Amino acid sequence: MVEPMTQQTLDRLPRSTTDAMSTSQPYLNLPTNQARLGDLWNASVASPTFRYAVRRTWQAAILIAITVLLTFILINLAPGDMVDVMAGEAGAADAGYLELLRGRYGLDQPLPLRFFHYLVQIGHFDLGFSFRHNLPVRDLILSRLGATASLIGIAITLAVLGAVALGTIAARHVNGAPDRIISVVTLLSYAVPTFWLGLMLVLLFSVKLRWLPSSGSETLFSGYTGWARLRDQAEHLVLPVLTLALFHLALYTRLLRASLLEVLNQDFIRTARAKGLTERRVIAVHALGNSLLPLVTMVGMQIGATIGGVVVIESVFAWPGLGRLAMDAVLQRDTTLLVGIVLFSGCFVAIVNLLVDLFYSWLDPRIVRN
Amino acid sequence: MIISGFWKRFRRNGPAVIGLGVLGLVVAAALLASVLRPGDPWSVVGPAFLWPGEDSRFPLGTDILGRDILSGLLYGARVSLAIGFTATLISSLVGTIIGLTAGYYGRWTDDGLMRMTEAFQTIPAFLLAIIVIVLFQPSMPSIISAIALISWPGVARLVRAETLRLREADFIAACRTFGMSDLRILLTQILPNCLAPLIVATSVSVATAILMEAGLSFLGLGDPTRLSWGTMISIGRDGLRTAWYVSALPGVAILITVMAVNLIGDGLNDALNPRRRERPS
Amino acid sequence: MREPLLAVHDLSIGTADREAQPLVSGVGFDLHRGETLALVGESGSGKSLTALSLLRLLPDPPVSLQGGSIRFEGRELTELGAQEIRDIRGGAISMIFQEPLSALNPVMTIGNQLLETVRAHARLSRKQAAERVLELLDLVRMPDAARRLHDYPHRLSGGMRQRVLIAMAMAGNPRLLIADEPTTALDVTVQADILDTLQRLQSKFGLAILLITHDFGLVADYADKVTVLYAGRQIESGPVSEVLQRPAHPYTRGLLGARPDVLPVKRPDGTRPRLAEIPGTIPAIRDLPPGCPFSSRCVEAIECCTRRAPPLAAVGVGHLSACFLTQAAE
Repeated sequence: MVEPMTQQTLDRLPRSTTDAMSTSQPYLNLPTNQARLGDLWNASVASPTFRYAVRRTWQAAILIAITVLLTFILINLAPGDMVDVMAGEAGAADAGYLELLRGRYGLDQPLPLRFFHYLVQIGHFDLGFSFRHNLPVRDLILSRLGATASLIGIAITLAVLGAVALGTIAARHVNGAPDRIISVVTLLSYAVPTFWLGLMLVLLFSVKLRWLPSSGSETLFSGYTGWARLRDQAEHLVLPVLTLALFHLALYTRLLRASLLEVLNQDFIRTARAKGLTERRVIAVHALGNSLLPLVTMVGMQIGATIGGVVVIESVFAWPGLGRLAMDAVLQRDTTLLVGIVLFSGCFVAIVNLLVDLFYSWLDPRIVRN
Repeated sequence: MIISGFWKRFRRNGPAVIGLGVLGLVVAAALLASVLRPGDPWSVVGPAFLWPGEDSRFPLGTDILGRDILSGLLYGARVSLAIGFTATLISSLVGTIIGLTAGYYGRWTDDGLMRMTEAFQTIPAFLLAIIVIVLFQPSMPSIISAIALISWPGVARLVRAETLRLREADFIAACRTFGMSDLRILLTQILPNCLAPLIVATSVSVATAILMEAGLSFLGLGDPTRLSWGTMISIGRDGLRTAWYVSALPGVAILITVMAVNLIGDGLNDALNPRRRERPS
Repeated sequence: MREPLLAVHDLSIGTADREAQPLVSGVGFDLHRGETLALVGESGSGKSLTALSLLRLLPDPPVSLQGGSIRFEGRELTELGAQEIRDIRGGAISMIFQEPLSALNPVMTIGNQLLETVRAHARLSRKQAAERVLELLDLVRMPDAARRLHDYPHRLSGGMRQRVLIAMAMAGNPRLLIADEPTTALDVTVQADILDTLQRLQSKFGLAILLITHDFGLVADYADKVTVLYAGRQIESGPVSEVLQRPAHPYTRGLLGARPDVLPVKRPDGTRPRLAEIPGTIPAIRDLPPGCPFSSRCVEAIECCTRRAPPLAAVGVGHLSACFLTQAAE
C-alpha cells in the first residue's frame, strides 16, 4: 500500500525549483582551464557528483545490511520454521526426520552463524537456495522479476503521463469545471481499495463483457509466438495495469496540479509572457519544467512502496510476480527466499533513490552537492 | 495554534462536513451493529445467493454460504474502524516521540534513530506487514501492530522535520535561558507547533490503515474470528460470476468510509493551514 | 506637436467586485519617442498595475482592466486580440521587472532564455539567433558574454541578471520600454550602472521609457516627465523640473520633503531636524475618504476637499494637479 497525498507531504517536498534558493551571491570565478589533466580528474572521478554517488552507495549498503538483519531476525522470531510448515502440510512426521531435515537445510545452526554464512554468500552474489521451490533464489527472483517490473513500470509510466495531462488541465482551469471534475475523480481514486477495483474490472471486462482475460500474464500452453504472443501478453496486462495505475494517476495529478499552481504564480512566468512567448510554450517549457521536480521525488518514493503493494494486485490477477512469490515465502517460512526478495527490493529501492537524486540535481542546477 | 477560528473554517468546507457526517454514520452503524442485527455475522442465517431486495429479511442479500450481508457490513465496520483508529493512534504516538527526540537532540541520537527509520522504510511496507502478521498469527492485535509498524516512520519523519525547524527558533532559545527543562520545552513549546501537520497526517493515516486492513484480510490474513470487509470481498470472489454483489457491496462500504476520512483530512488541512489556499494565476 | 507614441487616457483597473472602488482610476499620460516618463508613488499606489495593464499582464482574475484607452502607435491596445498582444509583448513594447532573480527561469541557462526571446520575434536560424544573442549582451555591456551564456541565473550577480533582462527586452527592437522599479532590488552602486545603460539605449535607439519608481532621486536624474499617483488616482503630473521645483500638490510636497538628507543641517540650537513625514499611511481602497483621496492625511485640507474630488487641472505649462488649493491659487 502506498501513502496517499497529503498537503504535508507536498509541503515537505521541494515544491518547485524556485524553492530553497541558495544564495544570490555570484559564484567566484575560479579559473577553469579544463585542458589540464588534473582538472579532468577533478571533473570526473573526484567530482562532487561522483563522490556523492559513492557516499550514497555506501550508506545504502549499510542500510540494506540492517534491513536484511531485521528481516532475518523477524522471520526467525516466531515459533515454527520451514520444516514445521512442511510437516504440517505432509500431515505428520516424526521428530527424528524433522531433525534430519533441519540438519540438511542448515536450520539447526545458531542464528548468528546462519546470518554470517548468508552474508558470505551474498558477497558471491549467491542468494541461496530455496528448498521449497527447489531452485536457487536468484533464479527464482529473476524469473518473476519481469512480470512485476513490467506491471509496475508500465503502470507508473502511464500514470505520470496521464497526470501531466490532467494536472495541467486542472491548473489552467483552476476552480473551473474541468478542475472540479478532476478533483472529484482523484478523490474517488484515493478511496478505492485497489484489489476491489481490480475485481470489479475483472467482473466488467472479463466476466460480463468478455473482452479481456481475467488472470495470468499470458495464456499458457497456447503456442503463441511473435506478434500473437505479444498481443496476448498485452491483453493480459491491461486490467492489472489499469488497476495499479489509477491510484498513482490520482496521486501524481494532485501533486502536479498543486505544484503547477505554485509555479504559475512565480515572477519568471510573468517575464515569459511579457517576452511574447505563446501560452503553450510558457506552460510546457517554463511552468512544467519547474513543476516536475516534486513529481520526480514522489515517483521515486512510490516505486519503493509499490513493490510491496503489488502483492494484492498479483493476488487478484494471479500475476506471476515477485509479490506473490514473497507472500508464498512468508507463508511457507522460506527464510532464504524471503530474505533474498527483501534484499533485492532493498537494493532496488536504494538504486532508484540514488537515480532520483541524481536526476534531481540534473534537473535543478541550483542544488549543490556538498 | 489557530484553534479559535478552526471550527468555523472547517465548517465552511462543504465536502469536509459531509465527510464528517458520513463517518459519523459509519461509526453509528458499527456501534449499533449488535442492536440492528443481533447475532454472529459468521452464522448462516438463510438461503445462499439471495440478491439484495429479494427477501425483506435480508435487505442486502446473502453471500455464497447464506450469511447476511448487512450484518457483515455492520460488524465489519467495527473491525475497520477499530483497526484504523487504533493503529493510527499507536503509530502517531510512537512516531511523534521518536521524531521529537531525533529532531531535538540531533547528532548521534538523530543519526541512529533515522537509520532505524530508514531501515523500516526500505522493506516494502506491505510486505513487512505480511511478515509480521504471518509470524504472530493473524489477530486484531497483530494486525494493528503490523500496520502501526509500517506507519510510524512517516510520522517520525514529519515530526522530526518540524522539530528541526522549530529548534532553531528564537523563542526556544529564550525558553532555555529561563531554565526550562528539555522535556518541558518539547511538550509545551515544540509539540503544539507540530500539531497542525500531525493532525492532518493522522487523518491520512487512518484512511491508509483502513485500506491496508482491507487488503490484508482480503489476502486471508485478517483475524479469523472477525468478519472484515476485506474478507467479505475475498469470499465473494468465488461467486463473482453471478453473485457479484457479495464482493461489490463491502467494497463500496470501504470506498465511502475512506472517502469520508479523506474529505475530513482535506478539511482539517484547509482549516489548520489557512495560508495554503490556492491562488489562481 | 507630434503624435505621442503612447497615449493613455482615463485608465481604470479593478477587481470583479462591483461594489468596490477601482484600484486605479482616471490615470492618463502621454509618452513620445526618446522620452522618459516616471510614474511615481508609494507602494500600493497602483503604479505597477498601471504598467502591467498596458501589456495585458494583469493577474486576471482577480484584477482586470475596466475602462480607459491605451493608444500605441495609433492602435488601440485594449481592442487587440490575444495573438496581436503577444506579438507586441517583447516586440514593440518590452517590460523589465523589479526582482531580477525571480524574473528568470531558474532551470534554464540565460543563453537559452535569450535565444528563446530572440526566436520568438524573428525567424532566424540557430546560428543567426546565437549571434544576435551575443549582440544583445554586448549592447548591455555584459562582461564575458560568451561564457555567461551557459550560466544559470543564480550564478550571476543582481546587476548582471538585470542586464540579461534588459537584453531580453531589447531583443525585439522595442519602441517602448516599461521598467517597473528596475533598480529597487539592486545595490546602490549598481543602480546608476543599470539606469545609465537604459539611458544609453534610449539615446541610441530613440527608445521611450516608462519608468516606475518611488525614488524621486531617480526621477530627477533620468526622467523628462513625471506622473504622481496616490491610491490609484493621478494627483499631479508635468515636466520633471516643474514638478520638482514647484510641486503643486500637498502629497508631492510631502514626498519631496520626506527625502532623507545624508547629513541634515544643524539648527542654531544644535539639534538636527527630524525626517519630514506625511502622517498616516495609504488607506486601503475601500477605506478611501470621500472627495479627495489624500484628504485624510493632508495637513492643508479644507472643507471642500472632503466633499468633492478635485479634478485634474492645469496649474502651469503641461503641469496638472488635482488639488483645490493650488488651483485656487492660480
